[in-house]
Amino acid sequence: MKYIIASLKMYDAFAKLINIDLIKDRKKCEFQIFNNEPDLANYVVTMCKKHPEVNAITLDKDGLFVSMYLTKNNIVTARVDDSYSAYMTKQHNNAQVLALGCRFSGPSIFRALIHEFLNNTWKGERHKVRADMLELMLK
Amino acid sequence: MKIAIGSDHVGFDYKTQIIDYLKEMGHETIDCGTYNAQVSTHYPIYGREVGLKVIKGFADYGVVICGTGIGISNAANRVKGIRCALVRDAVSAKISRSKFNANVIGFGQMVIGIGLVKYCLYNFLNTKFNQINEQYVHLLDKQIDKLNDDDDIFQNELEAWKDGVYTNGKKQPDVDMPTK
Repeated sequence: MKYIIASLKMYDAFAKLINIDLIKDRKKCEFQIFNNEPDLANYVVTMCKKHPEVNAITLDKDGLFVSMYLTKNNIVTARVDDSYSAYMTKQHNNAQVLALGCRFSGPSIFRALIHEFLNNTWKGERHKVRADMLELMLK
Repeated sequence: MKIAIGSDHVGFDYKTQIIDYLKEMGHETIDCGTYNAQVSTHYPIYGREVGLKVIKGFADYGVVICGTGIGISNAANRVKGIRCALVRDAVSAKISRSKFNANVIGFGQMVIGIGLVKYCLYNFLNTKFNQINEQYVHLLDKQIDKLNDDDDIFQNELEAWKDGVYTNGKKQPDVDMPTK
C-alpha cells in the first residue's frame, strides 16, 4: 500500500507532523509540497492513476478545489473534518483521498481523521453498486 | 430561484425539511428523489440527477444529501459543469460560492444539524461569485470532456442490484427513480 501526503507550502509544518505519525505507524509516505492547488491536485491525479492502490492525504486552505478536481478525475475524494465521516468514507465509499482544509481545523483533529481513514477497510458488497455507478458516470 | 434537490434514503429526512425551508424562503424546488426512506437506494442516481437539472438550466442551484455527503457530492461533481461543495460550516458554504462559483451544495445528514444546514444554505444562496478565481473554475470545468445524460446509464447495475448480485443473492425491491 502506497501513501502520499501532498500539501501546500504554507501548511508543510502540518504535513510534516502527519508524516511523522505515519512513519511511526510503519506507513512510509511519498511527501510532496506545492505552491498552488492545481499543481497539488495534478500530482495526486498522476499518482493515483499510476498506483491505483494509493491512499492520499491532501492539505490546502479549504479542500474545496482539490476535492472537486480529483473526483472529476475518477478519484473518490472525501473532504472531511469529522472522525465519523473519515472512517465511513473508507468503509462505504472506498475513498482514495482525504482532502483536508487547514483553515477549518488543526493538526490534532487531522491526525485523528487520518488514523480513522487509513485504519478502516472498504466493505464492498452493497456499497459496491454505488462505487460501480460512480465509475460509470465518467465512462 | 429554482433549486433541484436530491438525496438517498439516509438523507431523505433532511431533504424533506430543506424543501420546506426553501419554499418558505420563496424558492421553487425540483425534487429529484428519493421519495421514501424505507427502500435502500443509491446516491449516484440522485446526485447525478441534481447535477443534470442544474447544468441543463432547469434549476439555478442544487442541494444533495446522503449519510456523510461524500458519496452524493462525488456523484454530482461527475456531471460536466457541476462544482459541488460538501460543507459542514457556513464559511465553506460562502467560499465555495465566492471563490469557485459552486452550483451545488452537499450535506451529510449524519454529521450536521438541520439548523446549521439551513444557515449554510442561506449563506450559499446569498453569496456571489467574486470572479477573482475564474481560472480555477475553468480548470474544474475542463476535467470532464462531455456531458453524459444517458437515461439508461445505470440500467445494468440496477438490474444486478434487484437480482441480489450485490447482496449475497438476496433480491432487492425497485429503487425510486427521479421523476421526469
